[in-house]
Amino acid sequence: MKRVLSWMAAGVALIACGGETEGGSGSLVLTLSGEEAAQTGFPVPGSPELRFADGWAVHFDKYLVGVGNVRVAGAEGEVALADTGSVVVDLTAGETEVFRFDGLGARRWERFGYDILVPRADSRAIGVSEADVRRMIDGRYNYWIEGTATREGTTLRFAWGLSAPTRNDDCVNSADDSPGVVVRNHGLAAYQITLHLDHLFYDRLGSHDGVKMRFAAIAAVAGGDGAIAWDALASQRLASLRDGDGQPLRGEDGALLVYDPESVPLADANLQQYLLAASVSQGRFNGEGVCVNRTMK
Amino acid sequence: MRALGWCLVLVLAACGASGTGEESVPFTLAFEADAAGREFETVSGWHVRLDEIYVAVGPLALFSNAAPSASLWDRVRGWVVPVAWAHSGFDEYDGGAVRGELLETVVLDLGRDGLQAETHLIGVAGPVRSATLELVATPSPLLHGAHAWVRGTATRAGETVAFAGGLQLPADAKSRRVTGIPAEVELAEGSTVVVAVHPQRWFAEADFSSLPEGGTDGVRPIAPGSQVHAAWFLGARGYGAFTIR
Repeated sequence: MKRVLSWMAAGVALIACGGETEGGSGSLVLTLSGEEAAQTGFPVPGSPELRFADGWAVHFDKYLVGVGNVRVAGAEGEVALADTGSVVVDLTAGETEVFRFDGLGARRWERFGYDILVPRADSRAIGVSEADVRRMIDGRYNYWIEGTATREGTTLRFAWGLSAPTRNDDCVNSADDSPGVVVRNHGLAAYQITLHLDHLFYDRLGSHDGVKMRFAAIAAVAGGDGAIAWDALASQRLASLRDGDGQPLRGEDGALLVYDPESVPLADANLQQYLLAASVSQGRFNGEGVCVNRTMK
Repeated sequence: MRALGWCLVLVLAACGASGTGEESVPFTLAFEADAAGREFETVSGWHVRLDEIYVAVGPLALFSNAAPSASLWDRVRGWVVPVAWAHSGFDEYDGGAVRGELLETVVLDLGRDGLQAETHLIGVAGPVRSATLELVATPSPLLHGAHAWVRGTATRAGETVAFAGGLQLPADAKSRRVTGIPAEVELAEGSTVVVAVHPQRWFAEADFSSLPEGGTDGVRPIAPGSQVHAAWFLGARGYGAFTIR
């Protein structure tokens, strides 16, 4: 609800400004946010949806992401911007301004896109250490996620590098479902690249309907030192999930628990590959605005 | 009878201008079974032989937009040529324009070779890049009230399990739907679009040793709630269970 309200205000402002073309030029400013969850972890206070169904709580110490290759174009293909710059940002620091582009034609640009990518040597690091940037480059990670998970006195640690670079195209402004961005003459148009961190933990791909956030299958592969190794997640088969004792993992209703990728292709039907596929859908625009999310193979 | 069907389609096509400048064309939609789906190995080493394989497929739509799993070329083309918004992940995938549509339910015998359930339809000429279909529970006795039905044996390390059972899908539409099946087909007058079904994908992750004993004649039932049923639930709707040519 917070997402909706915050972007309604921005949407009303844009709609009130009117016209599709007006001549002149203006600026576009982009911020990057992992929303409240990046800072509070899960459960997000006050949100009945943003919580794990199996009682786990997760806190992020680092949620690093590479973002760049911003594209702005018109509906007929005229290109206003094809930037090749990129940044590395820690989402736990809160919403951060990441790009500013001046001299864009004042009009509605119907096509907006960006990439979630592996940082490059020339990527701007914002609140991210040189060592972390180097680790992402060397590991070819577009996300580096560190944190803790707790339940009933048990604390587990995780530090994962995810490699599933994503192209996000044709983003829609969540405020009014309009395509792309509006640049005003002499104006400063502010938009947000939003990442939905909850998507990583849903038990079903392809739909928001009936999905639940879960962590038990992830926690089950923790080693004796309390660390959940990324590679260990590959040992969980989606159709044969096991608990920490090696027994079939069951849901709240006692039924066998499965993660359902629906028709989304996975390199292998295991939990590690599932999480990679889930991460592909994190890229949004202005809160709830959708983009065409596609893995860059 | 087949000729009569084609005549009817041609007459309808001749009358059926879409009003959008697109060309209506008669075409044939057909299904076929992947013969490799009758005998195969699972991930956990079971050698499976299916003696009875039936599935009911309901509404099927052929779309102009590429599936989220599209190739790099499709993604680049999508950026150059304006397309309807489509997105993967947690939202309804939007296939764009419907090029062709099968509205009825067909029951397929996947133990048979060759094309089956051939249906003459009218579509809109142009590229088909993806398809979506539903699995349906029909009154057909072949399906025993389920969405799909199999009977067969699984063998591993000297142990043989005879099994039979039906796939029972939940009531929600999402759980019955197979979305974004990749396609690279040009729909034109007289073309035939073939949907292939691959039953080996259904049981790729099944562990037949988990099936409880107690069926008649030593045949173990694939009961809802069992690991084999769960694997079937994922596999029957998963990527690669259907392909299009």
